[in-house]
Amino acid sequence: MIEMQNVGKVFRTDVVETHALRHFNLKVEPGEFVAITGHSGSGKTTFLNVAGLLEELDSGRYVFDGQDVSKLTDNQRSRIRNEKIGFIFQGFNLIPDLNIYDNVEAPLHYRRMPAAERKRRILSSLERVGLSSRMKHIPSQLSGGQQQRVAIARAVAGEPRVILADEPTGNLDTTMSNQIMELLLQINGAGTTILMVTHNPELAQQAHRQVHIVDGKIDQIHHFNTLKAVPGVGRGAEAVSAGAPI
Amino acid sequence: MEIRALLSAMWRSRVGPVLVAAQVAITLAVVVNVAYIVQLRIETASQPTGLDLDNIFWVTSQAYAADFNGPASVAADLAWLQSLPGVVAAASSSLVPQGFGTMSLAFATDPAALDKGGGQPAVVYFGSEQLIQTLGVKLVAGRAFDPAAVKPPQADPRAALGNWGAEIVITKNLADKLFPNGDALGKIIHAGLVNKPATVVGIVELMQHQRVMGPAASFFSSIVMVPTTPGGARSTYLVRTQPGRRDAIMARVEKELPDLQPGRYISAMESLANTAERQRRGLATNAVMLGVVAAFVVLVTVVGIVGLAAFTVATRTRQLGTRRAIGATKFHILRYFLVENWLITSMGAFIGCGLALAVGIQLSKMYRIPQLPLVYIVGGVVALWLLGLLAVWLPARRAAAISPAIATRTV
Amino acid sequence: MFMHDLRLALHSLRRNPILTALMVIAIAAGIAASMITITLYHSRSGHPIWWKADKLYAVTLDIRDEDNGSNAFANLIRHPEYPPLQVTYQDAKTIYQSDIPTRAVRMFRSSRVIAPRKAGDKPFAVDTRVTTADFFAMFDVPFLYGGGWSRADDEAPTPVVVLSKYANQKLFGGTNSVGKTLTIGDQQFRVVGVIDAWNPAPRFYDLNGNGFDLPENLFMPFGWTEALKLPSNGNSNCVRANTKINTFEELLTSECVWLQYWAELPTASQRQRYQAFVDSYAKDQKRYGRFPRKLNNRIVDVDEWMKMYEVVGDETKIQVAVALMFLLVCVLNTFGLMLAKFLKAAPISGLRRALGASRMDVMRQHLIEVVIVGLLGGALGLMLASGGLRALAAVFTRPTPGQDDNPARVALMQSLMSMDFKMFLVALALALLTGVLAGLYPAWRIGRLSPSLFLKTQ
Repeated sequence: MIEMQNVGKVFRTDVVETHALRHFNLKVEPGEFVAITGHSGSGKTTFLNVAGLLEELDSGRYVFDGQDVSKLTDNQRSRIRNEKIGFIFQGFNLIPDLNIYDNVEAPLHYRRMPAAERKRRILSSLERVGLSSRMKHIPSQLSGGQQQRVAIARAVAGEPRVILADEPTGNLDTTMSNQIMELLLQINGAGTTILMVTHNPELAQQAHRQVHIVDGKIDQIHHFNTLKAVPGVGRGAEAVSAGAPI
Repeated sequence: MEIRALLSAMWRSRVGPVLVAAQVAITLAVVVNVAYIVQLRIETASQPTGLDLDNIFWVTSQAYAADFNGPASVAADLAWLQSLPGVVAAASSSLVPQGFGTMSLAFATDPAALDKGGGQPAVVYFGSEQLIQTLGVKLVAGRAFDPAAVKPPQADPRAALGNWGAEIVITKNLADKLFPNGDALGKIIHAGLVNKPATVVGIVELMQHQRVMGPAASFFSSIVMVPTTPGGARSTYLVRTQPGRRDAIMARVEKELPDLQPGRYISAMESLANTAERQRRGLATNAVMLGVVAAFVVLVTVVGIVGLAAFTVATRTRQLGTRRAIGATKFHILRYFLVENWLITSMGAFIGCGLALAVGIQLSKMYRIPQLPLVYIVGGVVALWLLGLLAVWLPARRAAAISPAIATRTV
Repeated sequence: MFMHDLRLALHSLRRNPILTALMVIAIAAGIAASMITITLYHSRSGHPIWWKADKLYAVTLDIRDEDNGSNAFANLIRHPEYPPLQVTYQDAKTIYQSDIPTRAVRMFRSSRVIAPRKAGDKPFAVDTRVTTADFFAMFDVPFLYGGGWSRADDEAPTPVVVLSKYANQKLFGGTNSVGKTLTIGDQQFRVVGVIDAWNPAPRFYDLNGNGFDLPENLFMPFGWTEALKLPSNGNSNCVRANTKINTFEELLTSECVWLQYWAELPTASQRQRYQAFVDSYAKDQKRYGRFPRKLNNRIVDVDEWMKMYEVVGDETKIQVAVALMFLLVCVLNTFGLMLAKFLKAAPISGLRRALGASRMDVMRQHLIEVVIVGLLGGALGLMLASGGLRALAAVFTRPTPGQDDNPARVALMQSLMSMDFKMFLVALALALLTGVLAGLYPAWRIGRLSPSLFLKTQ
């Protein structure tokens, strides 16, 4: 699903040059749930940005869903983000001026989808996160947990191949976190690949794999659970790793 | 295009858009009406006069001696002026065209209409034999004054009215009003007040006594020229010269004319081009003042649009990044801002149309000019649309350039 | 406290120099345009003799034909409801006999030429007011030397004249010329008075032509009209259809209006009695076929008189309207910029609120910012306006041919195009008003925001 080979990403200012990612190698199989952990500044957000095609990579090769995406134009990248990737952010990132329904609809707008199909998908994804009754509310009228569920609904409405979650529970209390994790596991169970950046070891342990990043490099990989057999997909947890598996 | 979502977003932060829409509305009302007035002004200021403006000057001789022989002096002055090399024609005239004074009477084909106060108003010129040649106006029918028909000057200037010549030359504008069938030549028309009939012996294609706006414009091109030599203690002569010789002849006249007859002096003298220019300048100064203020109105409104858009971009950075992250292309973002601005401008323009019309009606009443043509409003709306899009272009480009990676940044 | 707020406000303005400059310039431009046009309007609509506002009345008589819908000039008349604004010679003569007014004048503008006083001098063409004796006392004309003449001098007529200060300067080098003689036409006139600087703006007593010209340079007893067959140099309008004139004598008995008529009526009872007198005169004249219309004789005060003549002019009104619209756009614009600026800095306000500043504190601090922008804009606007007015005055005081070199004319134009103290106050008020209009809501909105909103992440 995701295959990074020798990926590097450098941030330059006049004074310093920071290697946010270097010689980064990772392979994620379809249907896998991978937790990304690391300290602040370890490069995990950069990894997520590169993986989600939000930022370009400076070196290496990145194959996404069988397509080399290292050298795509901005428009092509937008298209892939829109059709194949769902994002969940720590700060929810709902559009504050729009109501819940419109928020979920936003990504669907950017592809030419018939109105009836859009509506069906919005309703079913809101149903899935249990917020059908709140469609007309605006984000600020909802609790943090509810907002994140809307964000999840927005991410799954587009029926993406991969969901990228950036500290999805970072702004939430334990109960809420568990609910969100529950939802993500469900979604993963239905076949969607998930990459989740998190600080929380308990959550990380619920993934198939935990990838720990230090200084822009993979330090360790833990295997917690085995990927259930998905038709056409083999066990694919033997990631290429720079660190020693335990 | 997510119009509904866009509208609801606008509604949630409505103060800014409402302010800009209000500016657009006022701007439309101001610009459209000022453009119309300025256009009318320019039209007025460039009305053709029918006169040989560049080659005519006028000079006024004023007597101070009690025993000054006015009538004799007029004849002598004219003979001298006409004898100067380079002079095409010279005449004594009761009015200076494009000048400040005017005299008018009502004219009619039927004297009974005059007794009821009716008829057509017209400007009346009293002039000597060469008046028509001196003005440089073009005869389209008939002839200029017959020297034999020209009445000599009178000692009593008030008596000019009673000294009414029997053959007159009129402008086509007046001829068409009095004789809609176009057969004015040779007909008799009656003048109000002086109660005098006269035969139309010539028709002038066009002559504009003064350049003005509104219904008076037609009045000032309805002119009757009467072959009665005005002048006496105070005489005004019009002199037409060969091209390029005007200034030299003016200098000579200024030097030599006073001494031709003792007991008088030149009280005023100016080229007709200058006289007309002074009238024109009055119109132009006002038009320029209005135009400058209107231009500032547009400028400030454009600044307002840029300001609002820049502010919106600045405050929406995060959501714009999010939109990019979930798949919006740069074009989508650009389009979003252009459409949003277009909607605001349109709302303002919609209200502005009503405002512009209301102001236009008021103005047309005040100036008694035709109502503001709708094409001005249409043009104004289109111009504001374009200006609005232009104004929002840069902020929108900046919005489109926001990196999608903003979305993952924790604030 | 205030000093602290002031410092904060200044700091905040300095933090966004471009935005601040934009707001100041917008307000300045709006105020400059408004002040230029308001000054023109104000100086044109000023009351030139306000201290006698309830005493002086212009008299108009409606002698017009019945409106039969066929008036040749109908298209050119703007206010058909007004009587002719001047009166006929015969009417002026008759109503002058009334002793109801404390003072009365009938008069018109003419033109005379004063012969050179010594060889080598140039003759001097002067605009001349031919008027009855009360003119000077009625309009409070200040005298430098001597005085006016008496009603008996009008009757005689006596060969006396009053000179303007400018004419006295030209003819007598500014010395006391009372008792000296001048040759006008073939007649010797004795100077009885010299008027001091006197430039009513507008020249309300005769608003024909340019209402903002200077008073005449020579004043002559009214009796000379008939004796010298003096022509009117001003507006004359023959308002009745069957009028026929061929000679000067016919003009005097004609239905042509060319005289101005003023009456001084200090009390309400005098005014009522005078209106009744004029109306009964008109009714009486109906017997001779005159005054065919319904009674419409208007005795109007100076203000109304200036309105009837439209002294202020559509041009000026339109300019003021456009300038005020411009100012409004500037206010809306500054409103938007101010709101944007305040909202951008809202987290700082939120922090101040959290640290204990009250809603009022935050509002006051922002209001001070608003007032500073308004005052800066006002000051810049005033400078622009006075520069603009000076430029305009330069355009309008360029000499034109046939015009004398009277320095009073330039002074008059300049005074019409300069701001007096009142205008300065108007500018100040306008600046504060625009600032407050533009900033009140943004300041209020910032004060109202909950501090917690800005302390949370986004």
